[in-house]
Amino acid sequence: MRAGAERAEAALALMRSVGSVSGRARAIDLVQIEGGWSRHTYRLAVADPERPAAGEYIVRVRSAESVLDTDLGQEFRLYQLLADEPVPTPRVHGYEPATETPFGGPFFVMDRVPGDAVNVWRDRDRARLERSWERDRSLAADFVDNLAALHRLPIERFEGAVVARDFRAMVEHWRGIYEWGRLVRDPVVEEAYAWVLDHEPEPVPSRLVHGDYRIGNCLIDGGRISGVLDWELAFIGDHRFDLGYLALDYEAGQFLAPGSALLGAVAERDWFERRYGEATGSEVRRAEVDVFAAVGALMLIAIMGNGIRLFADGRTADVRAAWSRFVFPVLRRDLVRLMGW
Amino acid sequence: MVFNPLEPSSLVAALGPPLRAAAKAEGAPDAYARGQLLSGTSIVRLLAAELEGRDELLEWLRAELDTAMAGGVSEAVAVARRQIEAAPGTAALGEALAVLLATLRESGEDAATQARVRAVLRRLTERELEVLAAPRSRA
Repeated sequence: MRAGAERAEAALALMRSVGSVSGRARAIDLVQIEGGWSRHTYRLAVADPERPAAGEYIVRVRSAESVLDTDLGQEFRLYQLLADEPVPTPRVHGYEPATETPFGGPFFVMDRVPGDAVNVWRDRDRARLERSWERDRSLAADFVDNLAALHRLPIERFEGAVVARDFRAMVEHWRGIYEWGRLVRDPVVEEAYAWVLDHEPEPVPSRLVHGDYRIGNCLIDGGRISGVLDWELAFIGDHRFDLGYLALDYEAGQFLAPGSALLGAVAERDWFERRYGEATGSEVRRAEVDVFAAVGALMLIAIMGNGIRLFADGRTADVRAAWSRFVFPVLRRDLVRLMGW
Repeated sequence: MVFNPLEPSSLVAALGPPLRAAAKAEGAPDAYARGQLLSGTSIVRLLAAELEGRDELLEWLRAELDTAMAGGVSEAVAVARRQIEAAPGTAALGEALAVLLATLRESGEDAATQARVRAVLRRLTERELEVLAAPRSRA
């Protein structure tokens, strides 16, 4: 059986095991699509005579050459827990935890939600988001409202299923990954770790944190957000991390040229913070958010550095891991700005 | 560029596998393979810019750091200044600066030199982006 057919059959077998498709279902097509750097993603088309609605699914794989060691099982459980919550996420259909699979690692299957994702580092995608903002702000409203809904979720549902990290544990987690992966000592990064620890904000009650909340991890369908994806970095902790991460110039599309003037390339910052504050009852204080923005930049540097180290060691062949070293100057620029150098 | 991991030679070597895969592929590449090729073209463009501007940037950095540390009053600054002058490459440069800034931060001494070195590193972030964004000269 060719590799593609073997993979498709493995995904179907998993779906049959949980009753999501019948024994007569067959795979029509399986195509690898461009995904994140710690997951391989496939689109699976299924025909099932007993379920006319069966159609397209997404297979998420944690391959052996993932650039970051994150728990696919946690991601799967989180999707299960979010199924009935007011944050749009795809329904999942089974999780295979074995490492020896036709996909090269553990995997789970989920619905393919209609919509497409934007890339804020592409001019035309930023223009699309800016037109939406100018037109009726519906996308921006969904973006804020989903984040607020996420941060309002009762935390008890997720305890035990999602890793919990307070501020210091979160910072030390990323510093450990940075130190493992670094090939060159970076004085700006190392000073930034000291700076964030020296500026630890007063603690707040823990909430579910997405960990990588940005418009590029949302699906857009008909001008509205149809799904929030990529929960692999989620944790229970300080929700201000999600706010800070969005405040990075990088997340507005800054690379070699300036990105959008809109926060996260989606909404004016004042408007966003006001709407978020009204929805959650939590005032957004920029000085606090700036500390978390720096943590967000450090997280990205740690993740990319980890991927670069794996690439240098020959443990991943993903060219994007090598490419990511060109992002470091952008994130350093964010850091020196936040530290006030 | 200055403190960035992976030497140019590693980046060039990284281009081999996706190019070979593209040459051997039957039919149009899938989205993942296309993404690999696009990343490869981006590496080519950025690396060319980096190589064109790197020597001048490093010369600028060494001169600026030397000026920033010339008025230093602590032994740590004097040691770092010698290390930076002798640094054979960017890894040694990064090591020397990381140690210096940590020492100054932890000791609280020589705040003026600390501020000057930080200002140089801040300007470096802007200059690195300018180098990467610069249109290529066609020699």
